[in-house]
Amino acid sequence: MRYEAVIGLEIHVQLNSPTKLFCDCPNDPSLPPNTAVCPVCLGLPGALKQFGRVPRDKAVLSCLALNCEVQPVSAFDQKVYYYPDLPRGYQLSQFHRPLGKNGWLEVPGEDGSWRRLRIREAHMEEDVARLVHGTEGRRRFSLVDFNRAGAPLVEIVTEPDMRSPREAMEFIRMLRASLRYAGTAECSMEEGTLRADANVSIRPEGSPEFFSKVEVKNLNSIRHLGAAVAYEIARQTELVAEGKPVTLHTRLWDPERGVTTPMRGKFAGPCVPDPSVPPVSVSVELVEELKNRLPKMPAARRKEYGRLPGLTPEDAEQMSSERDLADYFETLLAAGGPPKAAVDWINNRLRPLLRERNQSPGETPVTPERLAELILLVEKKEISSSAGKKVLAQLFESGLSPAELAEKEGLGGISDAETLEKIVEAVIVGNPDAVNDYRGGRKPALGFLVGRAVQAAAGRADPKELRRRLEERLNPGGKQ
Amino acid sequence: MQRENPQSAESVSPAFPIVVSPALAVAGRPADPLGRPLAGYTPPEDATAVRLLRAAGAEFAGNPRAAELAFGLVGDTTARTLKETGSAAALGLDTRGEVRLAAAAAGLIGYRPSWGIFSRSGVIGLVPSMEAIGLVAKKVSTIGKLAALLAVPDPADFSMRRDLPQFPGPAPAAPPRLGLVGECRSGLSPEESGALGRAVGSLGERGFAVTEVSLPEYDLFSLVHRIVGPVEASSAAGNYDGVRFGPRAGDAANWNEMYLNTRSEIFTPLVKSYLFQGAFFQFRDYPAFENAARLRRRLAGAAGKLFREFDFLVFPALRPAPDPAKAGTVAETAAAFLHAIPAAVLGAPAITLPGYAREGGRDFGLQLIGPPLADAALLRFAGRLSPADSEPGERERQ
Repeated sequence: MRYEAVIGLEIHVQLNSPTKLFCDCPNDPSLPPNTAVCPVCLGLPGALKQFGRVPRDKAVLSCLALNCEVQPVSAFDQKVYYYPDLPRGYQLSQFHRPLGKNGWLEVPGEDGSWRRLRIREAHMEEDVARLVHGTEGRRRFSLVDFNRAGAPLVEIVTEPDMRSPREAMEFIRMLRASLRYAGTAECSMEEGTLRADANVSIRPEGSPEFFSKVEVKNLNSIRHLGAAVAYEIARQTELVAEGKPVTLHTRLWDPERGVTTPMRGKFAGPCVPDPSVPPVSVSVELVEELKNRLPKMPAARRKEYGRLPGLTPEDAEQMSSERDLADYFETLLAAGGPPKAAVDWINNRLRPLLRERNQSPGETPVTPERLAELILLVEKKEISSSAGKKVLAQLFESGLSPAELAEKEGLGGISDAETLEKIVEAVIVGNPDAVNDYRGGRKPALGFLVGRAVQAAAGRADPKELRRRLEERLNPGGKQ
Repeated sequence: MQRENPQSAESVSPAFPIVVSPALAVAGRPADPLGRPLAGYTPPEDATAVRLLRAAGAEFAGNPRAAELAFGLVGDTTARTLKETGSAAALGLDTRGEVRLAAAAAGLIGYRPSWGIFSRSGVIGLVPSMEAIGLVAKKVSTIGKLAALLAVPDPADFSMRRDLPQFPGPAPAAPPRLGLVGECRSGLSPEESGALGRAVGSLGERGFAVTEVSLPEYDLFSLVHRIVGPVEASSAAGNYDGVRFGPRAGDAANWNEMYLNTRSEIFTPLVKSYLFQGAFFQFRDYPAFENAARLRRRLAGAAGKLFREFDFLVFPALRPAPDPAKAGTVAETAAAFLHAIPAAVLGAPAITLPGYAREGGRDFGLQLIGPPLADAALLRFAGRLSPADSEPGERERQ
């Protein structure tokens, strides 16, 4: 019998709101321990929660970015469990009445077709404190950093719509891109601002029923998520094949060994309404206002870019992965940049220089309009590709246009036939051994001669043109 | 920005001494009198009510004690401190009727406002949806002035009502219509019945006839409180864990053991059994809690219908037994606070007045409950009934 995987995800995303969910403390867990705290987030006696509008708006925007229906009224419940990282003995979470319902994201399949994966709900939640365990000699100690306590989270719960590790990974990538586009979250799994748990089960292919699910935790990167889900599918398939039952439980991914191992049973505490936090109302006007803030989303852009001449699916993914990069790319196209050349210039030349300078596409002085002009100079062979590279580096420092820079630096291309012929002639005369080698059948010698010609032209001539002329001279009867 | 009530600071006499229960945070004043869970804890900030009083020039008198976590009246000395210090008023926490019954026992006036009109920021209690800062005073007029000062919006309390009542309210066009829920007579001792009868008689003599009405589900008020109360308390007491404040159990092998040992050591049996009851409903019988929450809404609806016919409802206050100041078990406290609980369940304003319900040489106190937000009307009517407020010159000042 063949089995298929049934995968659902529970994803916690930390919103990048400047303040925490129920107090005005900075939402910055990187500050020195226990410096971003107050009576509210420390759960001191008598301190009441004060729900913040900024985190609420970020949460609503997140729901909209995930195509959720924003509920006009949602409410917080107390998720009760006792743990030192929980200052009040309960965590405030929208268990019964979530903010967003019935969302979806589209992800591309391996065959290029797009599949819509459903999101059951997206609800607001407060984060817990961070525990640090250590030893001092023989003495063990535990420290609690409450900076993270009360940080605003959105928990996204998907329907079990994913069928492969790849699809689960694509979903996380698309979710990350969507929320970054919306400007609501950084979504770094490595830094813990996006945490995903996977619910994995298998079923006979085509069957509507499935075996018990297993929850897999400790997935610190998209790669780990894919590996853990793949491992779990294989493990469960083997169990079923051996006639053993799959039991409902939680497992931890061990990235070192590449396996999942069972962890202690998950304690599910009750969820009771919080009497001090009234229901959260979101008006139709607010939803409309926030909707208008959303840019064109990554899935739509990725589909659009995939239809541009010469672009591979990978190019489309790369250009749509970050909002400012996609905006840059689109402005560059609007300024006349050819799509494939634009991708190549951005990926291979611009981005390394941006990284060196710690700049983003949105803030670099090399505006997309300037880069488009430069690309067109090269495409029209008015300057060589290597000259273009030099001009690009200077665009960071200079306010001149690419054409002015090329002119000023003497990087204008050598395109007149007479000059090119003189260069070719000189190279042939000056390198008789290589010429003989080539004529004797050693074809790589041509590369050497082209290199010499490029050198002689000080990089200002198009290497392809030099090669063509060299071949013409060395093979008067035609190209060999 | 916070909007202060424009009528407050000017109209309240500035330097009058006030007793503040330890259930209200006073910056720098140790919270030890609230019991072992708070031993060694000193609030860093004033409760909003304390801040408002300070701003109006009030002075704080005495060092009253309270029951553990202000749950019940065992060990509570707030009303007594008021008398001993000659203060004008006292602020306490009314969760099931503590302020009203303590006032009644001391021959004073006890007022519990509508839920959500006084900020609860800085209030250290156990049952958020049923607790309110209550006022004890010799005169209703003092309570009215304090209510005007305290019923202002507070950004620190997200759960406050927006439609706050204005004090003093307009003079009523007609005498109030009074109702007496007949079902509350069930289980009254002859002494209590006699006291209630006298109170109804006295009201009639003053021209306020009391009509007996029926609220068949009256018994459910106590039931609802006995389920919703401990469930909320179980959550509200979750912060007593020895991690950030309060005593911490020693000799624990690890953090988990420290956490559990601390929680098992710091509470007295009364509070602990209350929390256990709450945990039972939270973890084992959640549908019972949901049913209780549903019943609470039903009771509010039934009471709402009565309040369409009557301005105020008359209830007994103190019971001869068990004495709320000695009730040491959850069952005893439920019985002692039986007739004070409906106002807490409804979030309705209530006031106890001395002098009306005397029987056998004891004053049981008369309790009046109004519909939520009818605080100003209730205080105005209580002022007409209060002998202390009727002293020469007092009526003119009101």
